[in-house]
Amino acid sequence: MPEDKYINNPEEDSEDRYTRHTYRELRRVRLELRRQRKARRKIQTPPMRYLFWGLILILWAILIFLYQQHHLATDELWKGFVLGLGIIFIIQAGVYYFSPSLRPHIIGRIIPGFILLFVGLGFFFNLNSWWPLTLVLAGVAVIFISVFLQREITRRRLTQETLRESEVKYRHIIDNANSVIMEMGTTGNITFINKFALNFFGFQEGEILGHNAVGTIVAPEAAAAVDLENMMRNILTAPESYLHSETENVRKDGRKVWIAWAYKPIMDEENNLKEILCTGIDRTQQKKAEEIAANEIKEKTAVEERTRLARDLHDAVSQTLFSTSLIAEVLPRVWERNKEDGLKKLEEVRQQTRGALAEMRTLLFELRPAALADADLNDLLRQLAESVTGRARVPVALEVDGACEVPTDVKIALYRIAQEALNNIAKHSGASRAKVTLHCRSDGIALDIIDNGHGFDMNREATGSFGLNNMKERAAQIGAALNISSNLDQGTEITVAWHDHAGEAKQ
Amino acid sequence: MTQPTPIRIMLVDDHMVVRSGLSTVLAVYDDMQLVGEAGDGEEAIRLCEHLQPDIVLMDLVMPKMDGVTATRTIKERWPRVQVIALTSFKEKEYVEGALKAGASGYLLKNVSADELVNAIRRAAAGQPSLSPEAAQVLIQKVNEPPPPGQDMTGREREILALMVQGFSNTEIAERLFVSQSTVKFHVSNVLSKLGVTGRTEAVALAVKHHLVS
Repeated sequence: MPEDKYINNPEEDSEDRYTRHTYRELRRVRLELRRQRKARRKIQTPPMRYLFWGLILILWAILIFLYQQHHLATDELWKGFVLGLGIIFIIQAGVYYFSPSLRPHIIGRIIPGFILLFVGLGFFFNLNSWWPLTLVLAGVAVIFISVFLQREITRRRLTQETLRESEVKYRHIIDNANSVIMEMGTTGNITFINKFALNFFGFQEGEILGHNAVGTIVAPEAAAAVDLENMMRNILTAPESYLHSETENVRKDGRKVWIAWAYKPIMDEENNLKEILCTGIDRTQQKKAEEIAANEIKEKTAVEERTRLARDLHDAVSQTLFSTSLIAEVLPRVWERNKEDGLKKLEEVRQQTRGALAEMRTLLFELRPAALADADLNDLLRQLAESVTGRARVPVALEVDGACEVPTDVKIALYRIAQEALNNIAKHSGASRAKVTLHCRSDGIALDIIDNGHGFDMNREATGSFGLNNMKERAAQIGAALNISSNLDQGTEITVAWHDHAGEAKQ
Repeated sequence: MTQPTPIRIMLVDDHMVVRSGLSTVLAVYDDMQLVGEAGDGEEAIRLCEHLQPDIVLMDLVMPKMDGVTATRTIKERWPRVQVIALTSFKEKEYVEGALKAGASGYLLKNVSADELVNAIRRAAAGQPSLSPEAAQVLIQKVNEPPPPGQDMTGREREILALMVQGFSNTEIAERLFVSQSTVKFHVSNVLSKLGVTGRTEAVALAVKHHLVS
């Protein structure tokens, strides 16, 4: 064994260890085979034994009958018995011939049968001269039969040896396979488990054999438990849906593992489900890698989204500042021409710079989203309103009613919904006015965003456009109700209502 | 400052705030007249049709239709209309794209009101104006060595295009109904004209310099 994966003790000679292991295995197999043979004999011998004793009784009946009818003398009874016994043995051999399992035992019946037969005949006919012939015939029979027997025994031994070898190999493979191999009964109780699986799950044989899979390797509350139950119920009607599965299992120490299973239902003679053979491969590492990859993609998407927003905001700020600088540059000329116009333009400059300032703060939140958690919802909404006012020249009024104390996730969701809605107002609505209202009550929050723009047809507009889906998702995440109502040329109103279950419970 | 007919100007920008600033500027000059505003390229073309402005101040990155496409369409239909690109981007592609489309000026959104007004006046008189950044891009382009393979024949270009699509000599021969040895001859000419030793290198160069369409 140049390469033995099962060495635990490097001091020990691997070959020795392997040989010892194999012998132990062989012994186990031998014991197992003997047990099986005994069991088989137990099943098959009784009728034959009764046949023998039955025939003996009948023989005695015949002998006694013949004696009573004076066909046999007293001293001839035993001669008759010997002859009869010989016949019985030969009958037995004939019966054995028809039973494949007993056929090897024919020899053991024929030899004594014929010897007794010949001896009996010899006695009866007082043919003392037959004795040598009888013995010669018996001898020839014994020689023939023993040759036949020898061949038969050799054949049988070879068959058994092959069987034993294959069984040892099989066991070796099962026990040392790098896979979980188990058998489960119809209720999910484990009837067989290989060594690898025991090591893998960290159980002793006694702790798992005969126990249900749920509660040992399947956590009772896990989805896998439900799957298992379904499988037991449905594997016969829809075997094709239960060829493979990947489930989260649990070790004895509570650590979770992922296993890719393959199933094979095993039937009994009446075609009922007897057991399910389950082989499983440890997929925990791959699963972890997959999870990490999925998270990375998710994170990447989030980063991309943030970058996009940041770029948009940066663009918006640049545009606003460009406009402001132009106005500021010509403001003296405006002022010269018309003081009132000048004042108006000055107000515009003020709004635009405030808007740019708000955009810059918003930009900061996009670059460092964690900062959102610490911000105050009122301030966030004011900032959004100012930036839209500055950027889109749409005055956005903000009204806050009551004092809001909201969980962070709710705050962020409301902020994002308002941001999306106000972006839509700035970009698409064509509105000349908009209003954001925040109602804070002890049992929840309502956010209302309304504009007087040209609206859209709720029926025609795919829900994916204008970020409506984003808003719905955000609302769903915090369990809030989102209502969008819009009609062509009649503006749009978006309402988010969040119910504070926790707050309610406190009261 | 009194001119009999003021310059008729149209603004095209998807940012309301920019249009607002620009209109403020135009309002204080008597020789300027704001005749219309559009939020995207499509609207610009539509308005251009009946407004027939002298000058269009055109943003380049806009929804629906970008400024380069709109400029090309406007210059095709109404060559008299002068378009000045006004954008925040100074990348080579934008500068080249806008000028090729027929813009007579390229200004960045850091231009002062004075410079802007001067550019409009020059454009109205049929003179171009470039922001220093756009001029820089053009100068760089002039100084750039010409891409290799300018001396390729039409057939050679055709074969290079098929090479870029990943066809083998046999496939190219089948497509062009010529013998394989002819294709081999052309391919070796292409390689020597591009100054490369291998097929892959030739394809990479062709893609990099847009030698094939």
